[in-house]
Amino acid sequence: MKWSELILLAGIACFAGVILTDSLSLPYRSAQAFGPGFIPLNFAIGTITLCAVLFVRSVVLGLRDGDMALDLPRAVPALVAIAFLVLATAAATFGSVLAPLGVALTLISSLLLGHSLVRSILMTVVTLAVIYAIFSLWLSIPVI
Amino acid sequence: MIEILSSLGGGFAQVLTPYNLLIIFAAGIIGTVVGALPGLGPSAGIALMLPLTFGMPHVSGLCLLTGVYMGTMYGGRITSILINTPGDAPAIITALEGYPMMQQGRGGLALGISAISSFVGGLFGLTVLVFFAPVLANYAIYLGAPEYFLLMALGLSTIVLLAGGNILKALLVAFFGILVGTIGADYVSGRMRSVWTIELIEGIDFVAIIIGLYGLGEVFYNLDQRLRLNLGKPSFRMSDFVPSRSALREATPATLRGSVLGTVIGIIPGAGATVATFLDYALEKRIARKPEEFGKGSIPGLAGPEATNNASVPGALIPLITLGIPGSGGTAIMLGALIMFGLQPGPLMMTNSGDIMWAMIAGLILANFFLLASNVLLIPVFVNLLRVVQGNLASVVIALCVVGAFSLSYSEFNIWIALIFGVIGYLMRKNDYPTGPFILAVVLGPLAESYFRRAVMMGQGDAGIFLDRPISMSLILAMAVIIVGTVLAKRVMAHRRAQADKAGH
Repeated sequence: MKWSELILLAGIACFAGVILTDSLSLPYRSAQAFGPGFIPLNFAIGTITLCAVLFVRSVVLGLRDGDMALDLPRAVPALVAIAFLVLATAAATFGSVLAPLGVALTLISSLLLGHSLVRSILMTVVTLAVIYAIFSLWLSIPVI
Repeated sequence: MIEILSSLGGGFAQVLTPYNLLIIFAAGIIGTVVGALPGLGPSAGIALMLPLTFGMPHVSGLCLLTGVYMGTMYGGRITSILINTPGDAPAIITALEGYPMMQQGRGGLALGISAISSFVGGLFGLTVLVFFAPVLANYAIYLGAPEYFLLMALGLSTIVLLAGGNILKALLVAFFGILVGTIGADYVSGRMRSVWTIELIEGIDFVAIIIGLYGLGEVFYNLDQRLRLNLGKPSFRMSDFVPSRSALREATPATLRGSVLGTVIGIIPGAGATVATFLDYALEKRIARKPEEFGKGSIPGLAGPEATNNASVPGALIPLITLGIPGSGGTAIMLGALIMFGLQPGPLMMTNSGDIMWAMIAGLILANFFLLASNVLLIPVFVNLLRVVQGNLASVVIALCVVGAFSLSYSEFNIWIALIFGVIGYLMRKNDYPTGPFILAVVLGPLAESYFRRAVMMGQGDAGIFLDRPISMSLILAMAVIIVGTVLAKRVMAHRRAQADKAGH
């Protein structure tokens, strides 16, 4: 059992729980067929059950094999990259997608991929310039 | 037959002008580039080119649009193979087999095989379009909600084949995918389901999901595993890019099967290339001599679905041209374009505007040849471009994914969706949860639910409607064969492996 599997199963179970709660306010059946609540309700119950089964099985197997890994240190680069992208996406609400993305890419390149700052900045500028040329100038998609 | 060939000859006579040839070539290249960009598929490609056709003669305009349509199907495979980021749903299977080949240093071969299979699939579909369009289209309209539901269910039944080693994990992610697919306005009743923000009224855009799950998820996983690509230095040895005779021999039967399946399923409005590619992949895995190679860079697993994908393009044009029914987003925009040109799609179009239609078909055939040539010639460029940027590939992929997700609705909302599914994809990859069943359920789940409920309504609450109709009965049998056959095959394989282990000890 890894921490990441626990997070995945807990996340899916929570999502299914929310869908389950929402589906209770929808009609389960209509006059001649199933209602809009039929699929979400039944599949949410099925999802939560499967999460529970997989969780128990993973814990039992983990305890039996002595493999209950908390492999958080290994995941640090991925988590830091996710954090940079979350901040960049939040900053995009101020009007520019490319500027905060550029900062995030430079940080990911220099801090996580081990490139020099100059190389990181250069690569980011070239990448974003090509993307701007294709999406904005050629395809007229408003990416700035 | 002679009449058809004479009409087709007339079409070629109209298309074979330097201006039209230039347009077809440019359309193919533009389509390839647009298709390769994450987030942009055939619909976006055709929509973006539509304004350019306003001042063009009808034939040239249609050649441009169909060339772009065909080109996007070729282009979708490039980013799937090179950076594991499918641009649209049919390209997912290409990523499943093509990306492992790229990681093994066989990216050029994967691009070559897929280009040739795409060409054969497209050519087969076009042949059927030329000779059998009206006959096949007449059969397609007899399919009702029960058959559509069972077709979707048949697609979903391939989950057992995509499950890998753990059926419970596959079942969980498929259930999760179906739940994700329920978000948005209910197709049948119009009720809102789990619509927490206004952007969710139309549901979650599955292209944003694909971008996150495969593109961003792969980057996060590589960072976690400290994986660095080592594709070597740029080189232009043709042997790296041109498939060998043995590779082509391995790909040929799968390509032919995929071509037939893609054309047949492409004709059915609404089913489209996604169901066709998944079904073909399931078929190839089921009959493969080495099923253990699937998911690790199998040539038949790559070639079959690629042929299917491109065969479905002319397939989808058959109901559009003969009945006026668009079977996909791309053909819906094509329908708009035909009306814009003053044509009337429907049963009389081939009679009233036959010359333009035959010219368009001739243009498609030429585009397919141009696309094969340009895609094969461009393989060294694509592969070496990847080799040049391999040290910074993570940044390139992230930038393409974020901007691709943004371009879906010109808002940050889809970037958030891609990011969320990027994290989910990373966690799934890290813990060996298969992504194929999830994405299949997201794409087919809402359609299956909608057709299921409509079918039960047609039967006035009686589910016996699925057994009363011969086509639906055949589909039920096919589904049963897939599920039972796969479970039995897995058991036999496990038994044989256990016996081999025993003998080894």
